[in-house]
Amino acid sequence: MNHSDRVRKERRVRIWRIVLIGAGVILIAAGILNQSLRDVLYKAINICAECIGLG
Amino acid sequence: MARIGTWWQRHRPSTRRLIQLYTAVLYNANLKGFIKGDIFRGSTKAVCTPGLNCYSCPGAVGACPLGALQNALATAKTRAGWYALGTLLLFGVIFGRTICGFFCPVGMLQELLYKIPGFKIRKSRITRILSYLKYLILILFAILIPLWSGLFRDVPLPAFCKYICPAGTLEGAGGLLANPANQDLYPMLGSLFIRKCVILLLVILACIFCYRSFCRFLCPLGAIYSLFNRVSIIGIKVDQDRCTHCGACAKSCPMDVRCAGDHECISCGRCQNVCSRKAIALKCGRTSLNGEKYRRIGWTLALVLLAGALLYFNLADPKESSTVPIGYEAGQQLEDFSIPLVGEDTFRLSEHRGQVVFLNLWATWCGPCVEELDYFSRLQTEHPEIEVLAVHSAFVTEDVEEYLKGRDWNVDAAIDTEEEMVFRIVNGSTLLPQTIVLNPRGEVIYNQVGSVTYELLTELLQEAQQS
Repeated sequence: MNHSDRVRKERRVRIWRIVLIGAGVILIAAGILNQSLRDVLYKAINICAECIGLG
Repeated sequence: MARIGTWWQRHRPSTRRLIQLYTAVLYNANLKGFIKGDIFRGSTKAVCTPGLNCYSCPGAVGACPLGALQNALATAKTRAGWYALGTLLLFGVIFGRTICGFFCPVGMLQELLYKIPGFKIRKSRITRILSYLKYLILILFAILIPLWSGLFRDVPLPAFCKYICPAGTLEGAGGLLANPANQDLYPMLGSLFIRKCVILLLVILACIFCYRSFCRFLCPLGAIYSLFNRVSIIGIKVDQDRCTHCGACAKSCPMDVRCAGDHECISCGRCQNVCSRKAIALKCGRTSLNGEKYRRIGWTLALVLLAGALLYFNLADPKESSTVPIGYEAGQQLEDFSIPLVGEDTFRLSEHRGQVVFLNLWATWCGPCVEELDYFSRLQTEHPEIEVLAVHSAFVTEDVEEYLKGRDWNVDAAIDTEEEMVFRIVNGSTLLPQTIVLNPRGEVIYNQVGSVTYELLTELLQEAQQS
């Protein structure tokens, strides 16, 4: 792989990063709006006995 | 003195170990939870931690991202779990598997176990093949089974948590059972607990003999983050202009990497020292993280954050849902209450004096709760002289009325009030399901957390009728 190929690859990686970060932020915002954030909270503040192997 | 100095030089913790320790304490900053034997119920629990840390651990102040993912998939029928997916995506693209190397308490435990002297299994072709097992576990236990269970059985089943996760057994179950205040949990321990303990024991043994066995072969969270390793902002980066592809990095690495920075790399940085060309560096974007420049200010900020977290969670008494222990124990009279039923009627406890009353605390998002309600329904059908009331937790994630329409349960159902009135009266636990049985005089004869069988219910009915 020559130098210009590497530069091109790095640029591609940077674009991917921006796209993925953007997607992550949008998903989190959507999660707050559709209340899946609240679902995570409810699940985390209650214990499902079977889920941790208690029975 | 000189000997102590030499020992310290040899054993002094690395910066990475200190960060791992710091992270473990920060994730579990609710130290009073270990003393009280109860979990933290504040709003920070909505925030996922990057590393694997069971949210049922008494110390946990955040949510486990893997648990959140499974539950999001299990409830996909009613609501898409965008939040859990977005969090994992963001963690992955920012840190990749640096999380495994630096921010995972389970990773730290595995590394400490490997320090126990004795026979060690080195990496080989076999371990490299085994390293793909975690992708299978991710697809099967963390994605397909929870999704299938939620879509087709209407029973949320976080399969990895239930059948495999050693962190849940150690931190969650272990953390709760270690406290004498939770002695009432002991009777519910059965074959599932034994199975999970065996898995935990096997994982511990494997980690003593084989470096980070759980992380390398089993952990679905590591599998998710590994998909982002090539594009992650922070991680081990190789300067291709300097690299001669000598393979020294892969040879020195205890993980199953083929080259530094690939999907198996946890950015521990060990390979930096063996690279004669100095082509490898731990970087954030283009900036090397190896320099001393920001170390002091970084640690100062981190310690201030930790001190703040410890003070906040242990002394400031952040808002938690509380339970009021009034007359809920066996032999005590349960306080009267009245609650609207799903439908039109209202349930008033005092109106059922003279009847055996079964109260079941449940939630649509609790798999075992949904499964055992079939037994309650059968009990009500076979014994119309008794009263069965299923009280849904105030934490509602979907339309309970609609949910009940899809079920053929012959029980009265209610949703607890926003103030959790019923849960407070019966000392409803953060653990679900919970069953309370009242004799005809309205006295509690049974109040236990955990799943029940139909046989147990019939035994309790007999006991209530005779008492």
